[in-house]
Amino acid sequence: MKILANVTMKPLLVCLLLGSAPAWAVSVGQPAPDFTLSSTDGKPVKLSDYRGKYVVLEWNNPHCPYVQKHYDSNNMQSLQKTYTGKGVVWLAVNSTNTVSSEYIKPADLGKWAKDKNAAMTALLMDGKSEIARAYNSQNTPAMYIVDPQGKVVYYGAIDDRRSANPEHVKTSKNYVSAALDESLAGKPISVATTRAYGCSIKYD
Amino acid sequence: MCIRLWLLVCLCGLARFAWAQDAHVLQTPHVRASLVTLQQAVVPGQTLRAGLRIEHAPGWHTYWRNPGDSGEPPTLTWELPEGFSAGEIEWPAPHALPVGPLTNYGYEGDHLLPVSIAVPAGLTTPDMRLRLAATWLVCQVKCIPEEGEFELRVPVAAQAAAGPLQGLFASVDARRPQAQHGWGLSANRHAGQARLVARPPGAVAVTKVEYFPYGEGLVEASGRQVLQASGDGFTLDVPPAVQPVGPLDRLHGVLVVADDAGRVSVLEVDAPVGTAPAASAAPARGMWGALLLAFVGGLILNLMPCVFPVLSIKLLALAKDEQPVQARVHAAAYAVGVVLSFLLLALLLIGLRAAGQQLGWGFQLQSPAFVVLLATLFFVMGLNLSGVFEFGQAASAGVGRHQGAAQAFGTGVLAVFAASPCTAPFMGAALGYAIGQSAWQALWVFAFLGLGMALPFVVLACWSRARRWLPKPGAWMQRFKQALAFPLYATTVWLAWVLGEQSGAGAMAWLGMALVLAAAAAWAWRQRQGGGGRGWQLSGVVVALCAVLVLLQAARSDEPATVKADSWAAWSPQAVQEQLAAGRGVFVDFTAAWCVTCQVNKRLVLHRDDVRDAFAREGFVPMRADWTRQDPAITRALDALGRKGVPVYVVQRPGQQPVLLPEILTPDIVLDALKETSP
Repeated sequence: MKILANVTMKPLLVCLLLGSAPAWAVSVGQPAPDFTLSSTDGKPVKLSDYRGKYVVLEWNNPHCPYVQKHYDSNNMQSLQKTYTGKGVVWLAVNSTNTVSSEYIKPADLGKWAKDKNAAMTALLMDGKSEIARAYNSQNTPAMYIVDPQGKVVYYGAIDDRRSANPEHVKTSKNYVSAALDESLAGKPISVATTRAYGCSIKYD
Repeated sequence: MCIRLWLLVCLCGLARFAWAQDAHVLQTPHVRASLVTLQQAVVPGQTLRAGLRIEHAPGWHTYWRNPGDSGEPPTLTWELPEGFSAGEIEWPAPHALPVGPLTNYGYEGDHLLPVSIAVPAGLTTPDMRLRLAATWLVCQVKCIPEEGEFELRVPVAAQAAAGPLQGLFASVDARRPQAQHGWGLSANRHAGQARLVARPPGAVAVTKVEYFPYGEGLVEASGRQVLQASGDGFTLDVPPAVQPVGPLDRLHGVLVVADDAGRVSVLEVDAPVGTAPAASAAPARGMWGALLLAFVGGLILNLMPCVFPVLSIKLLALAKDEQPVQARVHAAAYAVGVVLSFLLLALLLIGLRAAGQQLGWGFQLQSPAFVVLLATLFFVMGLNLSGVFEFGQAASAGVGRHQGAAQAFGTGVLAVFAASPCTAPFMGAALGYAIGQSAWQALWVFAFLGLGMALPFVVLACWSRARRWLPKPGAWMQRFKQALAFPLYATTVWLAWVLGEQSGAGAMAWLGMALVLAAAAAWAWRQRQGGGGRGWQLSGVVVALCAVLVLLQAARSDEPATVKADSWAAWSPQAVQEQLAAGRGVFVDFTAAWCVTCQVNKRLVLHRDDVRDAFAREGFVPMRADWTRQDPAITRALDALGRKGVPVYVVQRPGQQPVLLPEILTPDIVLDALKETSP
């Protein structure tokens, strides 16, 4: 059968096998890819160590005007304070590649967060953009929520107003706080998938 | 008088233009933005074309209405005198702009966002004032949000000539979607992608086609859109978003078509994707390839080790059978049996998937009960061939036509069920296609699979010259028949092993016991046929009942199969991501115990020492996804890869797309694949 296959089936198989395959995407209801990254102060942080808690993943890049919008308006910091106060783990991930002109060294990035009074659980360095790729994350700020069982329950934008204008924060519907409030109250998430907006993640 | 007035108007206009110079232009480090009009004057009752002109610094770009993977479209907010109204931005088709691995849709160079402004008829003022507040995001690697307020006074005149920007307006208008005169555009689903089927009005040699969707988060902007010529037009395969915000069930956007004469046509597409139109109980165009593959696949199935013995029995009967009419009835019944069985399997599969079950091809064999049934069937057929007993009178000569036809029908059904372990390697992709299509199209594919499988037998039965190729009946037939029992016994052993993998050694022992009882029942039956008393018949029935009870036990017993210790890690989507995140490559063997090809590949290729060494050397973690029993996670992963059955072999490097290997492996295929994807 093997020989038969090699001689006669090759052209047929070639025909059958043409066509490309999609990447293995992260989607709602699927396990969140695990990772271990160093925080800006050098400590290793492993996603699966937070099993049993809700985890927010925030893709961060201080050079991006859309990230600045949410930090200059104090929106991101107040979300971080509110939900870490309710037992949620908040991990900000900077996936700017080390070769990019927008790369910031861990110490400087940590200082930026301190200056901004940021209140994330940890700010993580993903200098090879690998975790961004694993999550197919494209934008800053892109937001993911992982449930206590380690499954992705929300991905997409932080709110419904694509703009870099801090004034717009007040009048926007915040998807992340809505999803977290529903989750913490034991309710299903009404909007679980949106289109993230913002800058591109600097992969290279 | 008239000329003097006209001159005055012109002078006035020039003067005001000079006055407005500062207010209608904004220079930033990245763009020069200006509020512009096509005409040099406003004509009451006619449309004024205006717009925001953006001259980008080299390397910088702004965005289309759908910005692609990142970015933000510009916004224009007009403030116009009473009676005027501005339309929406008349978006020219964008260009695909790669940004690292991502893709944006936008514009570079000297560009214009045109707008049409309705001018009231009873306009009496000497001029009008246009005011515009605009925002735009301009990016290179960095992104800068910018905004500006613009003001422009335009004189009012009875008529107006086009101004110096006529050329710029014309060039952006050429990239706005035109009415699609004579174009035929439709869309269907093809191998998990949306396939646009286009029929241009004339004979054009299309060289490049790009589809830009209006909706965000539905199409993978950086995905490759594959263009193929087809009949009187072309198809374009559009990949859905890797992380979609909704299903890609409609292609709505702009199509940019370039031909070899250098012309570019821009069309608007709005076509629902997927479900074939109601009239298409007949196969749709573009599907013939899949039907042909299915037909050829069906032909090949006849040679498979699981089908050949079954078919041989039938051919033997044919060689004995001299009556052509009867042979034709048999052939027809056999063909109907084959095709109906395939359709039944297809309906079952479609129905169960519609009900939300995560199933793929070969799903029957994921049920231990089915495996037990099949093993017993093969064993009893083997006993029959060995001459332990006869199936009533049916197998002997001089059968009634109807009885013979029923038996032929049954052979057809049996052949299809017996073929199920062999379908995967040859039909994987075609079946994947079928299941991705509408139910009607899937049924057509399965029907052609059946027709292909039935064809050789039908030809032999119906064409008397072909029948002459068959050897003459004789004593050899008895020996040949007995010899054919052995492949069936071998198949039984293999199925018993599959059951062992599924349900453990206990179940395998129960099956063995049931087979012994089945043999005893068959022997008792033979004694009765050979003139024994009623006691033989009674004990035959009792033993057969015992066999059934033991079989039930075999099918029910469900101790988890022990995991064999080897260097292969257990597959899970998470484990794959962990390894990729840790910078290691992953080789995944999607396999099942009941998949013959999978076992052959495992023994002859994957377990070779040089292959195992290559995994370690090239930094790959070998993983095994065992689909012997139903596993929704594996079914979903196969779906994502566009497959519905096993074997599937995937090579994936961190940060790269997974690469699929052929379903029949050689050591070289694996070794080359590991090398090729090495960094």
